[in-house]
Amino acid sequence: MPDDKKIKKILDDLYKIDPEFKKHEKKLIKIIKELLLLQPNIKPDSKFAEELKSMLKNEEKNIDKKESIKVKNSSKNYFTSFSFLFDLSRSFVIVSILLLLVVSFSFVKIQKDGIKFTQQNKNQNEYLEMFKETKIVKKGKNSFGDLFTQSQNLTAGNQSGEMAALSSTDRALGLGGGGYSAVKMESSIAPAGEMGIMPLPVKFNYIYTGGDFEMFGSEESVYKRVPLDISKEFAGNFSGGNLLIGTDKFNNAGISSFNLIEDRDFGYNVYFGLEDGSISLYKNWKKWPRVEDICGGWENYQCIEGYRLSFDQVLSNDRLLAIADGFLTEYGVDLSSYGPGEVQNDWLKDYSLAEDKSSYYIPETISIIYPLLVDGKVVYEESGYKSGLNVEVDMREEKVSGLYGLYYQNYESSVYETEGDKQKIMELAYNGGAYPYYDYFGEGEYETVDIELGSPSLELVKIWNYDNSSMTSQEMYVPAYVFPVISQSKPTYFYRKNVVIPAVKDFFNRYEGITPRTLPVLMNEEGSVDGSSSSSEGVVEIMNDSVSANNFR
Amino acid sequence: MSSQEELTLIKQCQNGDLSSFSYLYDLYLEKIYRFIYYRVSHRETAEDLSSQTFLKALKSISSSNFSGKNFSAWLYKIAYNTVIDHYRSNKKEMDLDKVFDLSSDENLPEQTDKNQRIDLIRKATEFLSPKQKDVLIMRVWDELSYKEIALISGDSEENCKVIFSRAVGKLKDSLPVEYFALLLLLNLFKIN
Repeated sequence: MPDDKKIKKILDDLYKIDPEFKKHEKKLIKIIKELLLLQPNIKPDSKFAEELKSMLKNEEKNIDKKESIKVKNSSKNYFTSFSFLFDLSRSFVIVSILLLLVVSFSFVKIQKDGIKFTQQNKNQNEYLEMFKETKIVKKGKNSFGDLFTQSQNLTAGNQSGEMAALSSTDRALGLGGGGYSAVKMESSIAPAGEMGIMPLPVKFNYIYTGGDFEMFGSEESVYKRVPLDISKEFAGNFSGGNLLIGTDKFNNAGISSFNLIEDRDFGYNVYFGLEDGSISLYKNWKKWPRVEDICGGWENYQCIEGYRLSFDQVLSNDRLLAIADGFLTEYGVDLSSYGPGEVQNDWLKDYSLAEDKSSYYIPETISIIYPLLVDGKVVYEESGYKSGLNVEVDMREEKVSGLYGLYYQNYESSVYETEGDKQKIMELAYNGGAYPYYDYFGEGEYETVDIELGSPSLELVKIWNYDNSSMTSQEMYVPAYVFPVISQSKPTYFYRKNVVIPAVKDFFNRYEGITPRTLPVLMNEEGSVDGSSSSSEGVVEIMNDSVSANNFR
Repeated sequence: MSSQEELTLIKQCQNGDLSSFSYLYDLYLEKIYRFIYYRVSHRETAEDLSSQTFLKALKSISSSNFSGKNFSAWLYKIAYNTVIDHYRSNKKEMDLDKVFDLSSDENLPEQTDKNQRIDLIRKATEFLSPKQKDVLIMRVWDELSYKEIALISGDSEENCKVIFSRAVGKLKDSLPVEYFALLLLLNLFKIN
């Protein structure tokens, strides 16, 4: 279709949806024309096209043959021409697993009531002791070197984009002394039943109502997870031999990981990471019923659609927790380093905001997080979610379908200086953290949604920090102020549960070096701008669209 | 090829005469390949997933119960699910972020102003949600009808229309002042 006709058709359809678009016809024509110019001019390679055509021709013959001898072909053997590869790979997998099981079962006995380790030798016993308990080895001050190397880079990346956005925001909107605003563009407020009406973009306005709060000490421990590498220990039991290749020819070799695969209905595939001391578990998908198999392939979408979960099939939080807790008890997972399970039900927010609930895709699995505790503090992700052991529950089957984030708890700690200036901490809180949503930089109307933050608790945040000397990323647990999101002024697609601000000074030093932000004006009781003034209440006032905070120092 | 001829080919395939499939392949390869490429932004992966799509289609065309008119949506749906499977097996979400950076033929020095405008549009697409990008691409680049988009994405037709209109509205609202200033200048000097 020629572009002009195509554009006209697109516009005609748009006007039917919302006649208001007609007013902006010229703009829209330009936008659609330029979208068409952005279309990648890509074509399949002619050699590829020929090869695929000839492969399909061969496949046609195979299908014809099968039809003629009335062999009922199931989806199990989909790509018949490659079946020998499946056979070969299956044999290889079986042999490999057998080998690994021989190796691993000399050391590990998997029993229904958990994992029990046999006592083989002194070295192994030392490792077993390490498995059993959380170990934190104290190091000297600033032992981990420069912190936030990677964060600095990420922040710089974010900032460069945001600077442009911020400057246009300032120009167009004039933020004044308001609480710092950030926008998640897709978070348009979409009241149910207003189909076809364009929603407005949203600005998030962070407001603090928590009052004065406790600060970290001037120096606090930062923790670094030390992966427990037992790959060589396992390989020590590997006697060698010839398995298609002479395995005894490899020097100083270790076993980095192995999987146990359960051959039973609803069986699991359990991954043991021997280099980082991790265990995760997934469905052995061959042993779980799959809708695409029942329906004879994804292409039978009507059948697939018929199997979508309905809202009535959603399990209660109590039921989900009972399934997850029951599984962990049955499999002997030690939860002493984790808090109680919390059901992650963010999808319910999307569902409640969805205009057409009948077409909303209800997730098949729900995640339950058992928050990790290090030295008695809860660990958070930078996004504000709790970090820890994740257990996935399949709502259709009412069974645990996955588990990850289970590690041996082995840390080093080192003391670092913290930021003692409350004002700087609050500046970042008003910003929505170091990684806020994108700023709105348009000229048109927008809606403001106030996000109310409460008093912070003193916890830890997990940060991946790039170490320049070893050129590896390290998993750090850094003291952090965790501001809970208490409320929002309007229902919208805002998911953040907490705003997390790392408390270590390095972080602030690097952050400061990048961008000065527009900040709320601190006002004393008389309303003059004076940060040194103190008032009795650490409260936030909303005055003429501006938010002022008292007494943060 | 007329739509009647296409219908005849589809019916022949559905009746077990798969020799007609190669004509349908010729007709749809480019479209399906592009559709996949927009979603994976990688030539070899697009080739691999296109192969899988046509193999699946060939295997199931005679047993599937779509009407001939829905063949296009049926084939796109297979392609879409193949792409989703690809991302699932790699434990990733479908990523449409790169696709607007892949083009275009318009990087000619004499068209600096146009390039500038296109860059601004490209940046504005960053603010669209993945779903909005997906529907926008299906409607504008893949030239699919709302009915087809609905069948492919599993959303209702009405919902697809709303998603598309919001995407366009968001693009319009997200474009910075510079874009409209450029348009104004171009109109003043009659450059376009």
